[in-house]
Amino acid sequence: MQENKNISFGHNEFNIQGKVKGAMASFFKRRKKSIQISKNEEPGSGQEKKKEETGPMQAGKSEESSAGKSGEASQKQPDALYTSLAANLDKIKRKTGNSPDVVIRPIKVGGAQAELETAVVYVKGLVDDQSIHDFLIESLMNNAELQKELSPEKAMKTIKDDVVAIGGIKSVKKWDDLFADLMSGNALILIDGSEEALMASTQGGQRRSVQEPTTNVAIRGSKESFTESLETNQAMVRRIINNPDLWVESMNLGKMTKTSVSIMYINGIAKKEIVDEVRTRLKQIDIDSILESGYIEQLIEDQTMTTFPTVYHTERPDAVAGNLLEGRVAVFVNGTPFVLLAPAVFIQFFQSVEDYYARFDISTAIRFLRVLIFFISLVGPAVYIAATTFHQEMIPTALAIIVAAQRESSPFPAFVEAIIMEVTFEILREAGLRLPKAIGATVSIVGGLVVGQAAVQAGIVSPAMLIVVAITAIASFATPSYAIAISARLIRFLFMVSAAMFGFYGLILALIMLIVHLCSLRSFGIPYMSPLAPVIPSELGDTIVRKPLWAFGKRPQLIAAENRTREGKNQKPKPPESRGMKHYTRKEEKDET
Amino acid sequence: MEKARISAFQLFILIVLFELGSAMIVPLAIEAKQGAWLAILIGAAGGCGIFLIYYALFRYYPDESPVHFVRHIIGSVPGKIVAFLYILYFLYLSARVVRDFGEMLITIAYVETPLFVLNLLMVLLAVYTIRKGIEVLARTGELLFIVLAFLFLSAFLLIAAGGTLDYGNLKPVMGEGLAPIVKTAFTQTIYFPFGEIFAFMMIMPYVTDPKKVKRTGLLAITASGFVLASIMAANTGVLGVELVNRSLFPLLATIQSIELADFLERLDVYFMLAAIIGGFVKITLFLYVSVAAAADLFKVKKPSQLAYPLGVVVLLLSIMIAGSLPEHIQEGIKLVPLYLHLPFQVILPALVLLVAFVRHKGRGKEGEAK
Amino acid sequence: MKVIGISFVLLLALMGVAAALDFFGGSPDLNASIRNIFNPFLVMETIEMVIFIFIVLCVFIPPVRQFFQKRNKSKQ
Repeated sequence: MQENKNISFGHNEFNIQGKVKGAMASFFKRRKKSIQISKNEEPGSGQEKKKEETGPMQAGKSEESSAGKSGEASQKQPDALYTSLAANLDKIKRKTGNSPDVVIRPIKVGGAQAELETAVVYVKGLVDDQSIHDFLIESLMNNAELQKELSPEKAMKTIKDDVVAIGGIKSVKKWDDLFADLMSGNALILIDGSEEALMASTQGGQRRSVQEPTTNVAIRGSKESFTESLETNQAMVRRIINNPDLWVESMNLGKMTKTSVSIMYINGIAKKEIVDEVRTRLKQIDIDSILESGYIEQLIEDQTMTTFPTVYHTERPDAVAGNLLEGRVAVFVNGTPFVLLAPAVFIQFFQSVEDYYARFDISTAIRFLRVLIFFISLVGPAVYIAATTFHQEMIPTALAIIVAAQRESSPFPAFVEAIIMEVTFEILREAGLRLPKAIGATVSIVGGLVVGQAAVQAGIVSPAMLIVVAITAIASFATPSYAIAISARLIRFLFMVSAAMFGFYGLILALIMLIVHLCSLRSFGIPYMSPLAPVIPSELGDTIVRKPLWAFGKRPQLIAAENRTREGKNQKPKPPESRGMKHYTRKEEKDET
Repeated sequence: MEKARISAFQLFILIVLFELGSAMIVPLAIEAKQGAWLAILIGAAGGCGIFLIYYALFRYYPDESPVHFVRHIIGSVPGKIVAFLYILYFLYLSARVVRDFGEMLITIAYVETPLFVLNLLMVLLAVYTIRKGIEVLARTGELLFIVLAFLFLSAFLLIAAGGTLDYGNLKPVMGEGLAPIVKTAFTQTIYFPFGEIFAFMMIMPYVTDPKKVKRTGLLAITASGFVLASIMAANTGVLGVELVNRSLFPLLATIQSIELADFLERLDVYFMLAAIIGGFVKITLFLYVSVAAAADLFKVKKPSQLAYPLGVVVLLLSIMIAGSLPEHIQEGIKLVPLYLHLPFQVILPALVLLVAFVRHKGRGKEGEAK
Repeated sequence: MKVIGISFVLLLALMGVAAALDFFGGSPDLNASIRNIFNPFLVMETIEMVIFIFIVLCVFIPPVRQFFQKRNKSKQ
């Protein structure tokens, strides 16, 4: 147990180092690329630099090939395994730098007369210890078949077919595949005299168990959230959609990390062009590391010069399932509970899975509230600034007097006041977010009570301003998607500046500019503001309003493909025509049809 | 021309927003006194008439921009000259609308802000939108239309509920007979705002379904005619003819008259929001049309390159156009309809149509099939 | 460069239109109308003038950049 802990710590450390390195490498790479683009006069040097960048991989390969040639003259392919077990093990040791967590366990089979050297290789911590011991090593040692005299080929076949009691087993011939499998937690069985190795899938080790979601919390609905394991996450969606048409494609991205990434969609519902687009964009990714789905998100977006998210991410399996059923494509990344969904539209960020579980009237009301909340969190302080500095005449008289009386004692103009309070609030929020929970509470007390109360009593800010900032802050917390709330947080400052300079005129122009910007965005070719603009009348029922579930006829036409029927006709539930026994006859009728 | 497509519904919305644009804030057709709303409706009918001229031209060449097909019709050099004149016309109109809005803002709220700066912001926003293309403008229009519709409906409700509406102010409709009303319609409302739909000649080729253009256009003109007529009727009903005649922006005064429950009062924001949305669409469309036409005429590969320089031209022109607000308005009422609108909206298109008609008839079926 | 040429020609023509309208509108003579056109620029405040010059200069940025890019390319 203790050992395991140590390993997992080591693993973490490795991860952190990798992250730093990855960030630095990607930074340098980007710089180099830009140099390459801007200085076209020296393409040679740029190319060379790039080559150096990709160096380690290729250098490794060439080293391999030269070693292979010198070691075994009979080798045809440079990437193939050697026949000798010792050479193979030596190569593995060299390649992994003798790392102690790569365990090499030699086992002798073939009885006392004709000993056949074999070895089991695995990485400690990445594998499931139990299956290694019970189904691999023990079987290899105790199996009667293996005690007979055997040729390497025969032994290989026996082990593959009779000995190893593990679901996934395959043979590997190339070093690249071998290392990829070994490092992802599979166990390797090598036999002396064979150019093949066996790969048993023994992935396991310590992972976080399935827990409740922390970001997309819903009162009603599944309490499961995704974990860091890709396989678990995929299985969770499969458990919801029990259909062979749920297709998965997987690939490894990141030259150093070789992170497994998979795309999931429902064949026949997802539009082929969109799936192809997602696939090509993923394949185009050429980066050293993928540490979170955020990396992928930033590399496959349509437009990067925007604060708005054009890819949706969630950690709820039911949200993923619902979106797959609308024709979207999900991108799973190993090592993160956040699954990407594309294409995303603006209005999607105001919807929550719960909307579909509750009745339509309630969901509609809540969706209206959410749009209002988003609007308040965008323009709250800006409206206050514009009204108090430019358009006092527009405030109702009674209110104007109160506000003016408060502003009388305040030493700053409204804009400065608002900026001070907003920045203070952002500091508080950031501090509360990163601190351990126990200290977080202290920060909020210090921030809320001491700063707020004291600032007002000292007369530095007016109480009305504090109310506005507080409402805005709460509004930005109440937005269902963090991704869109944070973009509202940023744009709010732009609005405040324009309101401070030109009052409502500036504010309205900024709003129109925001609308133009939103309308110009696309997510995987789908207009971001659809189905509001361009308006698709049949789909307005699932935007700010949510029509009753029995009226959901079709899937979204821009996203879904040929199979667009969602539900049959006449889904509206009706009460029985009269009380009493008729109730049962109705059920029978339904069965007949 | 960009490679863009807009739907017939988007065309409808753009036309309506465009027609309402600056017409809804000025005392439109007030020379007809209580009959202003009638003059607007007659103007809308006349607007439908001249729209049919444009549509007939469009039917001959449904896929080409007017800058191209005018050369087919009247020859290369005269065609280029006509296209150049139209570019000037659109830029001039764009500058006029920019000036209108700048002056309006100064009058209602920004007494100390320089006109130049107010105009600058509007032009920059228009340039930004134009660089994004007509599709984005059309989508933006759809969203802005929702806002505007909400504003209108609630404003009408509030006016009706506020009890400031006096139907007595609307009578007599034809106190001096039909003549002044018809005269107003034919000297003003046909050209402004309805005749300005000529700008849409440049946008019609983008519509996905050319067959729907005719119905959409007529419907949009009629709808905006009714909206404008009801705005003018509400203005007259609330303020009375004298006050409407004297105020520069009667809609503002009407909205300011709303007082409900001691809280809903001084709804100037309503007016500003509606006016800025309308002005934005109108300025952007005029500027877009001139940019597209200029790019076509001078064979500029990327039309978006022209957006900013032409925006600056409009900005400069908007402050050069007149020395003061009265002068600006005087020119707008007296000179522009006579010297600019009449020839550019009616006479030239009609002549071009005539030539096209004769040519195509001469060529017979072959030409028509094209 | 072409873009700037086009804009300049259009600006000149439009100034002509504005002057002509001013003249038809009852200005005493053509000289006065032309002077009227430039009047708004003469009464600008300093800050306005700075913004104005900045905005006009911005027009020249893309063509100048393009020019340098072309020169760099041709050097190669």
